[in-house]
Amino acid sequence: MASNPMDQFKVEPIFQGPKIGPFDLTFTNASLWMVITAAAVILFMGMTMRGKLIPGRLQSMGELSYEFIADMLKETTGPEAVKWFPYVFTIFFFILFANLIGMNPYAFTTTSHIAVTAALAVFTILAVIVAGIWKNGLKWFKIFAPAGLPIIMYPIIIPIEIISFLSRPVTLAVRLFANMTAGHVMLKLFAIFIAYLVGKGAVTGVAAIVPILGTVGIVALEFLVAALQAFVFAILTCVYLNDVYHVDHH
Amino acid sequence: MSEEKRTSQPTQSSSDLDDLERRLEVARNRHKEPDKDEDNGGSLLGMAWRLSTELVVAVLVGAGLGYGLDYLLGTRPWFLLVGLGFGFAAGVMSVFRVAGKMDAENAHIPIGEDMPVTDDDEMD
Amino acid sequence: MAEEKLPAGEAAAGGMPQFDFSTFASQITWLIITFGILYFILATMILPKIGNTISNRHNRIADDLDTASRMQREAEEAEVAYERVLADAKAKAHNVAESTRASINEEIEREITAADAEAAAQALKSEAKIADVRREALSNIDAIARDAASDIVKKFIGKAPTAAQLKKILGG
Repeated sequence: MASNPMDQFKVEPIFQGPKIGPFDLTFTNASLWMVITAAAVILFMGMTMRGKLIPGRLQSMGELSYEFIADMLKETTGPEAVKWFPYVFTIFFFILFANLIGMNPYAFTTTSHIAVTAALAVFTILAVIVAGIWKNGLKWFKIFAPAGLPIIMYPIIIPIEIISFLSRPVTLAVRLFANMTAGHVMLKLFAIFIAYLVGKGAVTGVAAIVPILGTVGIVALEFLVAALQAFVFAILTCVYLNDVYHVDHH
Repeated sequence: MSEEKRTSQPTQSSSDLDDLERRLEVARNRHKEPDKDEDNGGSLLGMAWRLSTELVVAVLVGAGLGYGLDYLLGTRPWFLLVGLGFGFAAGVMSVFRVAGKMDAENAHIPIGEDMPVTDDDEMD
Repeated sequence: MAEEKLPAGEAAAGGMPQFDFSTFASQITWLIITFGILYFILATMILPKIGNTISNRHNRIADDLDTASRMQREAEEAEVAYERVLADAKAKAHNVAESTRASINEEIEREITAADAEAAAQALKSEAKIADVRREALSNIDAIARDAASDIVKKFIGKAPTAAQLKKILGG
């Protein structure tokens, strides 16, 4: 195990790829684990997709996830937002599986990188802007000008609303990134500490039981955080999608 | 005697029917959308973490926008300062908004976007 | 661990690979590729199928419930019909019994009257007969008395009295 707790986040190329415009096809360990994450989601959902009238356990799991996300979207955004269902579903499961796969000590956690979390947040906010203008035309910009305020207030309120709006993807990205990074740094530090104690000799080796117990606790907590952060990201996506459909309620 | 027997038969069958009706009602209700009543419990520390993130991010976004404008217009540092001010205002506003939502158990966020309590100790 | 509390501080020191901007293009490119493929497969193949299964089941359950309700309604109607028929039959039976009893009563009444009349006629006839018999018997008694008296007289005096004498004796 590496001695620097930050080494686990290193992105290293596996093979070089061409750069096309702003895109860089260089395949790294991060790319590898993204591919694994997507493949795992497809495998999981594909396995649960049995289509039987009376579902088995696996199929129930798949259907429960389906209904979980569908209910979340319906309750948070409204029934008119069903066409976003596949997107919210993909967001949730991509993040969930990336987080959970990252719990494996030898895996790379793609969601512990701000580039990834920020890109995911930007997908969402761009989708909101594009769909909002597509659906409402220029009236969509009313979300920056709350109704019922005197015109004089607008020069103050509109910049504030714009900043709030732009803050959303940032908080979204920072929250996921910070949680995943912090958890993994903690785990790594504990692991290093345990290795150090055990390496020093028998007496301190026995003392290593304390950080081992601590590690077990943190691992359990990190599993919870992994699921919770995927959920938070997905539900905030649903909340932000409100701005596509409820321009006047802002 | 025979008359008694005859009348007892229909009552028997109608109680069976009532029973069936009851079971059907139960099944129908189960089949309907369940009522959602999720409570809005979020830990205080989780709330505090969320609110402080909102504030800091808003200030940073405001400053960033101001800096960008300065860069485009060559007016540094004026828009940066204005952006900081607006960013702070936006942060305070969204803090109030989120706090109000948490307070009013607003339906839009069924479960607070809270973090586990212990998570807050890990980072600031 | 205090020094680990501020990852941002470390980033400033260059310790965080997350802020190595040279990797951003590759990460975002591959995120778009993998996320896009995942979205495409989920949206076009997997999710519609799961949705279909769920809505099929929903419809099936709703249908079954409808069928059950319809059957229940039919059963209730059948019960009502049954009870109506039963009530009709009972009413009919009651009527039949009633009319039968009435006709039987009438007949009995008639028979009794007839029997009474016959008995009365018989009684009258019998009375007349008895009167005849009595009259005959009474008239016979005179003759017998006369004979007996004549015999008794004959025994005492050795000579039978004449009819006139007898008539005188007997006062008849």
